[in-house]
Amino acid sequence: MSGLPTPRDWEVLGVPPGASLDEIRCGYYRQRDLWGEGSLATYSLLEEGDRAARLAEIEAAWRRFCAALGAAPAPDSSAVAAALEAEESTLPDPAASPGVFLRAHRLRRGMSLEQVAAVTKIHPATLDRLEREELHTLPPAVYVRGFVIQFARTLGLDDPEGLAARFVARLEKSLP
Amino acid sequence: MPGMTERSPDERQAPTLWAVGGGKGGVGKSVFAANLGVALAQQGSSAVLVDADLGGANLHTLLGMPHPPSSLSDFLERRVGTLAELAVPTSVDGLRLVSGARALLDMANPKYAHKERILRQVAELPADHVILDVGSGSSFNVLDFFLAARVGVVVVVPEATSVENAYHFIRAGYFRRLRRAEPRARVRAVMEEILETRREREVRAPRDIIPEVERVEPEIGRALRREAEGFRPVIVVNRVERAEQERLGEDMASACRDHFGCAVTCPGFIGHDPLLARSVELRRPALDVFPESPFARALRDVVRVVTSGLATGGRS
Repeated sequence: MSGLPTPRDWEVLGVPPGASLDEIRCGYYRQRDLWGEGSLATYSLLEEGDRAARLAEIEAAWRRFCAALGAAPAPDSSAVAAALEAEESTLPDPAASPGVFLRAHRLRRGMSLEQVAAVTKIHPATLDRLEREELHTLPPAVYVRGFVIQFARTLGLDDPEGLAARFVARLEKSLP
Repeated sequence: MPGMTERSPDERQAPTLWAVGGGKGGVGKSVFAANLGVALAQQGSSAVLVDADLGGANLHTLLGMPHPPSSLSDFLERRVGTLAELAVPTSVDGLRLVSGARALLDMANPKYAHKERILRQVAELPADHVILDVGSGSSFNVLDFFLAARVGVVVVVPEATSVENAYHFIRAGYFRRLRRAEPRARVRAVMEEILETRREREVRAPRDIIPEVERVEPEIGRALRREAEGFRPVIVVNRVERAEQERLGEDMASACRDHFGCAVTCPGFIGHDPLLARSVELRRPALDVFPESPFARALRDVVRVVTSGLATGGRS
C-alpha cells in the first residue's frame, strides 16, 4: 500500500500535481468529507462497499504523500483518525482565542482562505489577519464584527454573533 | 403563425435547446424553467418555453396565463402542423409558451415517434432559445427530452431525497446516452458483457467502463466516448439556506466527474428567497415582478455562467 504517491493519488485527493503539503492536506480533508458516510453531496451515489473502498483509497493516497514528504510518520488510518480526534478534542477556546478557533474549524472543513474569501467576499489577507488575531492591523470593530459573523457562517458554526462579540471584546481590550 | 415562418428553416440557426429536469418533484424545476425563459428574453433573445412535464404541466399558471386553447396534443394528433403555431405570446416580451398539459397527460406513454416529432419540431422553432420543462422522474420520456438538449439543467434542493433522485436521474441519463452509441446492438452486447464481469475487470465505477471497452473493442469504445463527451449535465442547487449548503452543487459535480468520468458542472446556486413564493402567488415570474430579488440575481448569474460556457465551446 505504501510507496511513492501515484498519479491517481493526486486525483483521489482532488489536488493538482505539485500541490503543496498544505493543499494536499486540505484536499485530503475535503475528499474525506465528500465521500464520508454522512456526506449529503454523495448521498446514495455509491454502494456502501464502494464507499468504504473509496475512503480506503483516500487514506492510502494521503499516507503515501505523508511518507514521501516526511510530513508525518507514515500514519496508518487509525493514527490519522487519532490525530484528528486529538485535534478535535483540543479545539481552542473560542473566548480565549477566537481567531485560532476559526482557523481550526476552517482546516477541519478542509477549506482554504481563498475558498472562504470566495463565499464571504472578504479578502484572504484580512481573513488571515483575523485568524492570527493581529488586532492592531484590523479595521474598526464594526467591520470586524461583520467579518467574523460571515466567516463563522461560512464554516457553519453555531452562534456566529457570539463569536463576533468575543472577538470584538478582545479587540477593544487590546486598544490603548 | 404570421411573422414566425417568414424565414425558411435552412436560413435560420437552430435554437439552443435547454432542458430542466432533476428527478424529484417539488424542487422548483418549473419555476426555474419559467424564469430561465424570462432571463433569456430579458437579454433580448427570443425564447420559447415548452411544457413537456408529464405529471403536472403548469408553466401557464406560473406565467399568469389561462390554459392555452391548444397544446402539444393538437400537434401530436395532427390538428396543427407545427409547434410554432402553438407558441402563444406571454406577458414577457420575446417569450412564448407551448403548453403541454393536456397532451402528455392524455398520453400516458408517448411513443418514440411522438418524441421524435416533438424534438424535430423543437429544432425548427423560430427562436434563439427553447426551454423544455421535462418534469420529474427518470422515465425514458423524461430522459430523452433531457438528453436532446444542449444544456441539461438538473435542479436539486439541499435534501437527501433530492440528492438521491438527482443521482438516479444522472445515472439513468448517462447510461441511456451511452446506449445511443452505434451500432446499437453491438454496443449493448459489449456493455452487458462488461457490466456482468465488472468485478473481475476491476470496473468499479461507471468511469471505468469506457476505458475497459476501449481496451477490448476500441471502435465501440470510441463510439461510447463520443456519447459520454456529449453528456454534460449542469447541477443547480435551489433553495440554499445555510452557508455550508452553498458548496453542495460544486461537491456533487465533482463527485459526478469522478464517478462517471464526464463533464458535470455547477454554474452556481440559488438561495432561498421569500419573494419567490410571493411571485408564484402573484402568478408572475420572479424575474419579471421582482427583477432585483436575490432569486432573480442568482438565476441571472447562473444563466450568465452557462451561456459563457456555451460561447467558449460547450456541447455541440
